[in-house]
Amino acid sequence: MGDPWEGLAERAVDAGVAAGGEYVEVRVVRSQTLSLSVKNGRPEAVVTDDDEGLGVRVLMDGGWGFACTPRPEPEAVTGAALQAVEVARASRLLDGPAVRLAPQEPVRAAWANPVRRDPWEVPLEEMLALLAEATEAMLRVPGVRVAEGFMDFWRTAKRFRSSEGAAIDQLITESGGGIAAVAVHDGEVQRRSYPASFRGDFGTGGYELVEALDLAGHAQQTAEEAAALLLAPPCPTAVTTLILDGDQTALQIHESVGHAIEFDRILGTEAAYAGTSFITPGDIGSLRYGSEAMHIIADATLPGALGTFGFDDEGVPAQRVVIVECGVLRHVLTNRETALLLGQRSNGAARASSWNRIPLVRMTNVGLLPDSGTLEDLIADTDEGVLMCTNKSWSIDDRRLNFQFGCEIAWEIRRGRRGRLFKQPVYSGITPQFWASLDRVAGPAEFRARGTPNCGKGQPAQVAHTGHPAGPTRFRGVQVGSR
Amino acid sequence: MSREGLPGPDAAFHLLEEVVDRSPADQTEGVLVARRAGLTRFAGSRIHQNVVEEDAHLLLRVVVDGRVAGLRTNRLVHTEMNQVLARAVAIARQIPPDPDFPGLPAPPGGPLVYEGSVPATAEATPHRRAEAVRHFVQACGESPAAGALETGVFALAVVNSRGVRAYGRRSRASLVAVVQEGEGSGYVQAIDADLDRLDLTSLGALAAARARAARHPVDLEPGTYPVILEPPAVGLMLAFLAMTTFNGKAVLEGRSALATRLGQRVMDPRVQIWDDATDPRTIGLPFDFEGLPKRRLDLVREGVAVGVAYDSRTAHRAGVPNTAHALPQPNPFGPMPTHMLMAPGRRSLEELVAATERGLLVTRFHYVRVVHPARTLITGMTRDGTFLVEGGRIVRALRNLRFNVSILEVFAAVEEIGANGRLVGEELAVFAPPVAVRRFTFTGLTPF
Repeated sequence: MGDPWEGLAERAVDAGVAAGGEYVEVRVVRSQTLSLSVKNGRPEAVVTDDDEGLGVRVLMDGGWGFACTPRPEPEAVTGAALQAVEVARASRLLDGPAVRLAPQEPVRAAWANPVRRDPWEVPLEEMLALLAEATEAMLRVPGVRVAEGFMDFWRTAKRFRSSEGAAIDQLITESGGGIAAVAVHDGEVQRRSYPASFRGDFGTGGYELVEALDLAGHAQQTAEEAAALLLAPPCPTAVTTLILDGDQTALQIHESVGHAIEFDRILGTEAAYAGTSFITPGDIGSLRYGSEAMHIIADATLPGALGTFGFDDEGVPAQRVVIVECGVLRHVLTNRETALLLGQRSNGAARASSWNRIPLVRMTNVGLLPDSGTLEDLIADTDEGVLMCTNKSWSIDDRRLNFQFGCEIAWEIRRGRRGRLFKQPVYSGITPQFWASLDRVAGPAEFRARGTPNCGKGQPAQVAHTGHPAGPTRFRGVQVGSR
Repeated sequence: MSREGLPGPDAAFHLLEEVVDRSPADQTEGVLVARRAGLTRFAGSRIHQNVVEEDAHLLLRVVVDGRVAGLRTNRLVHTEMNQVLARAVAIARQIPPDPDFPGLPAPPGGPLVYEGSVPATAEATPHRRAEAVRHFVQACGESPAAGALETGVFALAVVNSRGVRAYGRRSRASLVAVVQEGEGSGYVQAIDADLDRLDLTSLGALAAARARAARHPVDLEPGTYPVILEPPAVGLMLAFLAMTTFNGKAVLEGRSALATRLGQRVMDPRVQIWDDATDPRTIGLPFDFEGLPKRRLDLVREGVAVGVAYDSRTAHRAGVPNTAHALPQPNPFGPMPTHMLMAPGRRSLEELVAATERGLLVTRFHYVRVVHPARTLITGMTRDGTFLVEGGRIVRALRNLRFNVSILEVFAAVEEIGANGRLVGEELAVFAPPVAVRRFTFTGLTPF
């Protein structure tokens, strides 16, 4: 079958310009999703999704307008362009500064991430058999009542055209999965996941990412830890040294750095919904965010990470941006509109979740730079403390300051060795104080980009896929306890 | 298509019946979900995002030899439906049989058709929304306002090969806004099927007044205090109960707090909670995603847990009647109540404050997350208006506090349930009254 959208993006750009749009950008997005959920060896939900449409964003007289259509028909896309112009006109009913965009050379390019094994070419039977094997293995461990396995795949073809002459085509394939064991006994419920909670870990790539996880090979240990947690004491309340595994470090970065450095949030555009940020525009370049050991980058070029792309949804090339250097805030995430307010060019963080959503400032791959050593080195180097692994719950205030994060499992650390197992561990802190207590970051051997496919922001709601290069980290003087 | 841009019942049934009739599967269910909406978002008292959207997608559930597959597509214009059906069946053939699947439900009666759309709201133009936002912002005076006004219409139709036929359409208008005044902020939220019933000017004045009252916050030592929770805070706790506790699948798997406590007293005897999509105080459709008619489901009666939500699959597994609370099928999440109400009391919020010797008044919560589902433990922050009450009066604003509480324990410690409940919530709207509770535990604050 031919491409039903052929020529329609260009038609929408022309229609928007003819109707008075000073700047018009059009995105045609065609996405496919495959989602597998297996419980106790049996498929529980196997769902595929084909979704496509065209969105037009128009800047006119300093106001934005956006409209969209799922219909690949000339009159529908022309109608969407005209409607976007009407919406932009309505935006100027309230007084306020006119929107202007930072300059951007129009790019004409194509980009796709490498895929070794196309998930849509892998037989469903093979995928389901793998999840059945892993969940059946978990279910054999005494105490485990529910064993779950997941795989999710996304393939997104994006076409970007603008009135400035940009013409970009991208094909992004994302894959991943995970397993979880739920142990239940006498009113107590404990869950243990591998390699991460909330359906697993994800990246850009093909089915090879799932194969590399070796889900079946980790089933036994995952289930045994869930069962062991039923008998474990709660994590004691203390102010102590805290070591986070790479998964929880990634969550810590996502919530207390990644969202706080979105410049639209700093400017207050999320004030009524997701919240603002403790960072002010005047802090950029000088704010002491954390200790000298804290080096944060936002790298949309990182091969294999979930927040990797060739160009953002405003046609800006993917970039590697230094966010925090030796603990000092150097840059924040911008799009073309917000970058101009800093007198800069966009650093390529404008992303839309689908054809019917506008680009917002979103994380790409925001993560730490590695230092040296392994998790075991960090433990061996710690006289007394707690090791926490795998996120379980996360909450942070509307300025990204006061957080409380819970993990699935913890171990006591005494004289450089792992001791007792603890259940229900939580830790809390205030963002800059917490990052100021960072004193060790593990080395490249234990670093990898963890994928977060459920990052929410915006109204109407958008779910973004972000990546977080992270490994084990150590923080001093942290409030820990149990919930 | 109707003048509101969404398929009416005849067009929706025609499309879905054609799909079901052509299907080579043993059983087939077709669900049409269509939406047309506009959202005007503002901050710093200017419009910074302004969008309109329309979409329609088909959800197919096919059953072949007890094997169940789901397929979703919005390619309804240029796709050959026979190919879509063939693909769904091909997927199903690769899946092992589901022994818990009881088959698609049969219709309990004739076709259901519901119309709940107010045309002026369904068709509200960008100009109409921008005018409404302007009224709101002007009523806020010099205080900067941020928020979103959304209007739209939603249609759902379900047809299955056993004879289920259901169609419903409803409109919705909602405003969420925060007004800033120095360190303080004031919050308002309103939802209605009719945009004309949202009084944007009054809401703007209310938000600005609340912001002024909150502008000089001070610290309060964390601890356990009596608290008066306004409807947005109560509604969010009810929404978390819907997802984790009143979910029949969570009960079956032992993950719900009610897995071992159904039939027992779990809240104060004055607490009544039920689900009823047909209640005029909610905005709902009178059937679920399997096309089965909804009716009132009591969840907590006089403090006793008396019911949880089921869909056909979980009801079959539990050996109980289906309560018609299916979400889009198939899914691993399970069923949940989506139109909950909590019975209000008699005294106003002001009277609840006047009756409080020392405690806190909390407007709403932020970033609430479940810490331990089986114990209904949640954590979160207060936001946009936390106040100290002394001697029956609000005496000062407080900085936001972190809380860690068990929802069941909060509702077991009810001091009094207030009057004037209202529909609150963003993703999941709940009818909730204000509630005064004797004990609510705050575990941290943000001291700057």
